[in-house]
Amino acid sequence: MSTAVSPDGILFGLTVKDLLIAVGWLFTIFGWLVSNAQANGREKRKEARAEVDACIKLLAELVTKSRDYYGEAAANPQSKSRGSEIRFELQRLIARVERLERKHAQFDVTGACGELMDSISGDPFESADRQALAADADLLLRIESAAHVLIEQLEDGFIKAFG
Amino acid sequence: MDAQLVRYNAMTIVLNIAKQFSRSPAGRYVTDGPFSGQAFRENLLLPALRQSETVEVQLDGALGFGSSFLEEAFGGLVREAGLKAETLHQKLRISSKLKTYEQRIWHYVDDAKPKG
Repeated sequence: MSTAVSPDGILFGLTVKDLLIAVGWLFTIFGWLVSNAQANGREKRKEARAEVDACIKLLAELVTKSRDYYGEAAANPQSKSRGSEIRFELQRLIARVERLERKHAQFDVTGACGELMDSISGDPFESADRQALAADADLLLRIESAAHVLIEQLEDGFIKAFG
Repeated sequence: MDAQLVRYNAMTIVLNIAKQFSRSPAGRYVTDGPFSGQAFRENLLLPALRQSETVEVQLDGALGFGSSFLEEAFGGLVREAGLKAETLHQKLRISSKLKTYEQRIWHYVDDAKPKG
């Protein structure tokens, strides 16, 4: 008995030729799905990277603004507007970082945000009798340290989420 | 500043900081400015807590909060007004899109020690 399958043979109502065409299509669709999933993954990674970079940039600007703010006493005419600006930008940063956390569960940054918030806007922030601080004052070092911790947690979250 | 308290229902008073106090709350003490944490606590938050079973404080809409403001407003309830943290956990609700604000507020409440 011959085991060869005739090209015109019938299998489930289809010829072998039809089956080969169908398999070809299945491979094409599967390939497209895999490639699409990979492209989506790359796009999400790129978006998250851009957001992490934007948060780090905002954070660096906030540290610089905090240094300028605490470098001058409350009596400085620009003190109030600088304080408001810092408060607003701190809120923007927290909102962006928390959005990242909501989108990607691997980011765990709320605690670090709180520490940063306390270091920047805790006492003597917006106090009427605030004195100018030296460049190496403990408070300024604490702000930089809290910023550093948040940057590390953003980077760690990115690595956990995207490898 | 509109110091009127908005009653949500018979048991709850809603305080929206941006609408009823200031869009730009700033500073710890009244000596730091008219929209300080102390002013918010004394003029709005404490009266609301005394008048109602529960108080919901809404933070959204304000242009940012400093820790000094939030600590004095909420931590001050324990430290200055002598309320117990457990009572506040029962009576006070914090509504904010930002989890960080809510977590800090409860941290200040739990961390504050009554004066004297």
